[in-house]
Amino acid sequence: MMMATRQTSQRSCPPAVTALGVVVSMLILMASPVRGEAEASFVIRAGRVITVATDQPWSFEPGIIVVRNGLIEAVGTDIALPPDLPVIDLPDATVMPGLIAAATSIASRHAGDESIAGGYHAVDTYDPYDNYAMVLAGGVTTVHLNPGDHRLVTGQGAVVRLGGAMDERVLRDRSDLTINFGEAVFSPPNDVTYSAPSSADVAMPPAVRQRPNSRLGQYLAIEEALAKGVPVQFATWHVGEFVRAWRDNLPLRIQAQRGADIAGAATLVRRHDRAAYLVGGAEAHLVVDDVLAADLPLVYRVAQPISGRAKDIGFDPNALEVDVDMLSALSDVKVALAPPIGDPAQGLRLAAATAMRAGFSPRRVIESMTRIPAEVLGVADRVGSLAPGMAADLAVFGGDPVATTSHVQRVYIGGRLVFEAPKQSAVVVHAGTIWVGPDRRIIDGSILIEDGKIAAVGTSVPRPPFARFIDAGSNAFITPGFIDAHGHLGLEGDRSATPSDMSFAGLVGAPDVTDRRVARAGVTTVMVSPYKAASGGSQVTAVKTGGADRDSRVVRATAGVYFDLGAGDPMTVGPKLRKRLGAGTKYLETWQKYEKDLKEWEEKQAKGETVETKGETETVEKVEGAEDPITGTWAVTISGGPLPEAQSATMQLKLTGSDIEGYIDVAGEQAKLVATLQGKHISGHLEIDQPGVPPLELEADIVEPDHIVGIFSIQGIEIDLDATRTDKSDVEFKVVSRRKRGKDGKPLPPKVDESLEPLRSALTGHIAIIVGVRTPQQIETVLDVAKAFEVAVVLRVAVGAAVVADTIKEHNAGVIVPTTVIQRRRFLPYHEADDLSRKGIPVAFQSDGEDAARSLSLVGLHAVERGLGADAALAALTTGPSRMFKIDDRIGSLEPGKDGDLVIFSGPPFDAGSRVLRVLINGEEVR
Amino acid sequence: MFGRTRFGGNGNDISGLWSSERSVERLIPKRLIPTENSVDCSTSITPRRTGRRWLVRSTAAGAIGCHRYGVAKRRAVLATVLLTCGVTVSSAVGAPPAKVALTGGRIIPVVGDEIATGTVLIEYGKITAVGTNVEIPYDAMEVDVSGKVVFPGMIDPHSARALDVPNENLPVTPFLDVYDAIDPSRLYLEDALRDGITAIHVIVANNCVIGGLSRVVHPIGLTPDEMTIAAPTALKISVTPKRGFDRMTQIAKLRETFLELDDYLDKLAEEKYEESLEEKDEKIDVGPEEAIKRGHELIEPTDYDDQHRNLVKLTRGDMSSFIYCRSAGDVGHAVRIAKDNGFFDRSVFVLGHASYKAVGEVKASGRPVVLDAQLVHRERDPLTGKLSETFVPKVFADAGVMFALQPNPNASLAERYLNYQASRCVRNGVSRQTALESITINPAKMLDLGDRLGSIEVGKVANVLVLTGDPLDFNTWVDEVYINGIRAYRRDDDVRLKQLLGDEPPEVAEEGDEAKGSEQEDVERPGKNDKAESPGKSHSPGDAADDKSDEKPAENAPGGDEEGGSVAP
Repeated sequence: MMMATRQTSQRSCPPAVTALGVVVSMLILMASPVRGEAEASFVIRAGRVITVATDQPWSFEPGIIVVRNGLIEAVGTDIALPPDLPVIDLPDATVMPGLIAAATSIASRHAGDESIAGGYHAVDTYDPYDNYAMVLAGGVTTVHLNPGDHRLVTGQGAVVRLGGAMDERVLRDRSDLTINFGEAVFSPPNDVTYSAPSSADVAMPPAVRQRPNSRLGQYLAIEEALAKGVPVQFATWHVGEFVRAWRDNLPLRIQAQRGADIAGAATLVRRHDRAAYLVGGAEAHLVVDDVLAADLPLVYRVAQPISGRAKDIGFDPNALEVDVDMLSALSDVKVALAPPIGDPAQGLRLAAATAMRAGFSPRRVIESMTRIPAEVLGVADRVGSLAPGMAADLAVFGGDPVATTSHVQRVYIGGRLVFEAPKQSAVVVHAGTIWVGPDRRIIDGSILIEDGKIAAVGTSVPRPPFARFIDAGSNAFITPGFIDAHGHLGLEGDRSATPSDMSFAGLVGAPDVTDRRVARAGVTTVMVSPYKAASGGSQVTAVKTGGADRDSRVVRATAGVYFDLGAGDPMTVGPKLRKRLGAGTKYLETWQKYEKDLKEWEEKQAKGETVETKGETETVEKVEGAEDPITGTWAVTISGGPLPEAQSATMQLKLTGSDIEGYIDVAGEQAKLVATLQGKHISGHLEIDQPGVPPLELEADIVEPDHIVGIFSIQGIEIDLDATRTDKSDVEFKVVSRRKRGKDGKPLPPKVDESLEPLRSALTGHIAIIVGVRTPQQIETVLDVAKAFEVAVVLRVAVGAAVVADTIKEHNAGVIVPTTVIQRRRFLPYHEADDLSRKGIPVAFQSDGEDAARSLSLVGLHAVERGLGADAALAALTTGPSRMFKIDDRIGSLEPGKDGDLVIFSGPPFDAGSRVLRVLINGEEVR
Repeated sequence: MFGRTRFGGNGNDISGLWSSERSVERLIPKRLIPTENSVDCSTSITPRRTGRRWLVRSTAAGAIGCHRYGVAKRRAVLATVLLTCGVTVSSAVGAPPAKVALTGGRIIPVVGDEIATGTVLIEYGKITAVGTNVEIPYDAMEVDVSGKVVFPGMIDPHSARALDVPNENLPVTPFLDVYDAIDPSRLYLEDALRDGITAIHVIVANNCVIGGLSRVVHPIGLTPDEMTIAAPTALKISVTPKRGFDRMTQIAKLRETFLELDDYLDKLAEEKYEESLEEKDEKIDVGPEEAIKRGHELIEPTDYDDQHRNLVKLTRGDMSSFIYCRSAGDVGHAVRIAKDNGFFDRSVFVLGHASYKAVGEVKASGRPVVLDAQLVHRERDPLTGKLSETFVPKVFADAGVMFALQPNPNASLAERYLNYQASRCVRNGVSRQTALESITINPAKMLDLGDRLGSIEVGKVANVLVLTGDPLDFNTWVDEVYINGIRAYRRDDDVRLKQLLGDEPPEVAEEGDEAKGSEQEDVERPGKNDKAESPGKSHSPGDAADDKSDEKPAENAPGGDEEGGSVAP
């Protein structure tokens, strides 16, 4: 019979054991829904491993822990790494056993009225599916669950782990029997038992008064219950469960604060010869002898931190300091530290701080948060220390675990990762020297980087929770990431001149091996320039060598316009540059006019005035009859390039002075042609009135009268043009100009000319123009032009800039010095950078190569060798270029608000033997 | 008019309705023989509410079920139904046909393949034929449902809304029966019918430790007996703390309850053994353990007291249980308690939306589950503040756990429709078949009624819906509802729905109607005698006063007065 078998099974062993056995076996069946499904086998290589074990060295530095199937296989410094296991490198971290909170409020107290209740099991409240991240974040892996502290006997406690495999969560389902002494348990409510349904046969029993009502009543109540034995009446089931638990020899967990209660507890324990431990014990120091005589370990809960409304502490002699006194007195007592009441296991480190103030050594503090609570709770054979065979419950701290500012980075339970500090967290880097900028360095300082930006620099910076901490050491020297002022990283040997309207930003993706190699050499930003500049100037793009994607890598898509004068005659290069800048100015003026019109329109609009819309849309111009080589109608054939076959078209042109204006008509589509005639050469462009389509460049020649041959080109695509004049007579054609105003009179923006946009930025002072020059004469010409147009200029000189240093200085131009030429002056090694920087001219170094940027710090080293000051050399690698290119709002120095790009050197960067230890870009380490 | 319940039907033997053991005397509504038109002879009474009592139901009383009624009884039910639900029945005439053929519709039988165009033949309350080539008997009422969809009646697997209060205050009340608290006049029942729910598992709500007995009812009928499909169905148990309890107290109480049951049985056995010896004038010759062992053999089913009777049934596997687990952590406790005490094999877990995390445990247990009406679980990570959403039925569908959906009683709009809940499942990746099963055959199986309800199959009870479109299309209306083969609802006649939709102006009490109504009431007011044909004969003023005091306030207040006035001697 089912009933009979059920009874025998329950009579033969305590029912709770059966019940919990089943729940544990049920849990075995399930897979863990929490993260950490991964194989619980790995190797951790950490900066420091604290074992806390009695049979192991206290710590290993650096330390290796081999974890296999959730258990520690080996721990030490010199361990051969098993080839089959993944290695987790945590060079900055300290790994120690997961902390154990021997008293928590995770299990809220039960709601029962019984003064003596053995039937309540704290393990029932444990929800393995709950999210314990807030507790795990404190490094706590194992906690004690307490059934309550509001009645004399509240039930049976449990020890559980807060993560890991479901079947290994509950370490002890009945770890102890909780007895509470003190005023809080006096005067329990009357015990009322409802018998339902009550009837004539089933009476409502009267309410029963419960003990204790006094301090003495506490012991009386317990002795009375024990004397009764297991009661027959089921109405007192909870008392029966208490007696059963007592007879099962569960350790007693006696929670008491007052000296009298502690002494009473000690007496009780000694009389019954029980295993027991004390919890709370605020006055334990008054009765130390009793505590020692009864061999009672103490679980010390720190006082509740002041929370909510700040209270005046007043004259209470027990406030705050008493804990310190108490702990100092308990030097011979085995003390386990526990978080304050009400705090879900997060405040364990507060307890540690208090204990340290009371004179606990850091070592004793660590023991009292790991091995000692494990021993007190009877789980020391599985958790609480790191030794072969123990569970891999690990707390990974980002520094010294007892330091106030170190935080938990990761937590493992049974080899499963159950907590990881949020990824977007901050980084704090500490080093002996921080070179913030040319005029500021900090000795023994730290940098806080948050969200990729430098948030604070100084000798003391904030340490946000979970911040990664990199201690580079007292010898280390931190500089801003180096900038290569003229490099070709990522061009992969493409030596063609990039068109004026093209930015390299479009080519940037996730960093590749080459990029990372350059980054590891300390160069965090490269001013990517083409090998050869287009005649109209090519764009220079500031690109970081590290980062996640294009957005985080591109500092500025257009950071400059690069002209290369080559070996040109100063007489001709001047007008060329002037002409190009002139075109830019013209373009700028159309925008300025638009902005002015817009402003006027907005003002009028605000006043409620209507704006008259002028008939600006069409103008008809009559061409004078004078015969010239251009004016007239042309029959055109275009071919090549993307065109599958030759197409014919007509073209109507008009020559005014040397300006050609006209239309080409291809298959009904009209495009406007604007060109200039120089001798027999026509150069200009074809505007296609579609958004986003850049104009086609036209280069053509009049090969014979009435016959033009030329090329349209756009981004390297070329289309051949062959035109013959069919009619020289007067032609009349419409010049459809852009509508300049919308229907409501609002001015429309002018057409964006991508090839002139960079010049517009340069002319408004946002970016610089970079001019490659060979001779001092060219320098002077360029500076004249730059002065005329009021643009910032950076000279990329070949040699001899020092000759005209005064002129350069006068124009506030920057200089990118050559790399490879070994200069000598009066037979002595000499470096122009030294000369220029002494005169107060900003200097920058360049690689003029792709992954040659890796040698940039060597370029600095050479300059220092030839007399350049080390600070000046650093400036030439950092603030010099960032200021020249006007990107010093983002990079170049280590001031708050700048990007978190920095290089950690093992010593001063240009000292012999100094090398790059680590590189951070946007706060992320480049590996 | 809608506040009161109308009643009509024919005379029938009701002696089986009430068990002789019943200790509470009730006013028993007597059925009336219909004359030509059920409207003309319909009467208006209100079922007497006895108030909440802990009625001790004997085992015999538990055997009451509607299926032992005959066809005539069903007719009575139909008429009752039409009136109960506020549906104007001007078109419902006389005795309903015993045979109905629903022809030309698209049949979604849930079990078996869909039939694009077919016929469902209902004979005497059962489905007797389903298919494309069904021969329609000459005497069958043929209903053309072409262009429409024939779908099994949906089943609400877990609802306390037919009860006057969802829970008692005492924590352990296995002696309670929802029979005593079902209120047939609740608007929920009318809504359920309109929404296509033809069977409701009425069970006490979750605020308990051990609740009471549940039963499965139709949404139509004047008394709990008339409504009942099957009873008792299950005992309600909650692992989740009752109000005022915490988890430790709740689990300790459950543990105590079942340990106390053992204790009680031992004591009872010992007593029985002693009694048996006393009868034989013998002295106790064995030790207490042996006495208990021998005594167990002597216990008769009638010996158990009220507190323990149902628990004994439960632990012996004679009764199923619905165990509520709001959080995932409750599931382990539920499994353990059910296994320890012998009722695991007949248990159904009623889960809160957070319980999806325990899907592994549920899957391992192999038991079916009733899912929360809130289908999406939202959770915020305490550290990152990131909100994550989980569509709960998808998790269980992926795990292959059999589940049933509940309508959301708190939602005034879409979620209160079971078919909408199912369509959300499909939208979130659950297969169509699984979604349809979760509102029809799955709950039927969980209630041990899988052989009678939940699909359109030959031999099953004819609880059939005629829908205007696919059940998972939210534009679909429930057009007709057949319960036990009798048309219980027609959308065309649903006056209240029309008012709600603005199709018909609110009903204004017309004098003629009023007079007519009161006359009818006079005629059909159930009196002390079975035959209440003769007008004015039956009514005593005391009854009238009683009835009125129990009625909900009528919309047409003067009606009540007039009625009283006309009856007054």
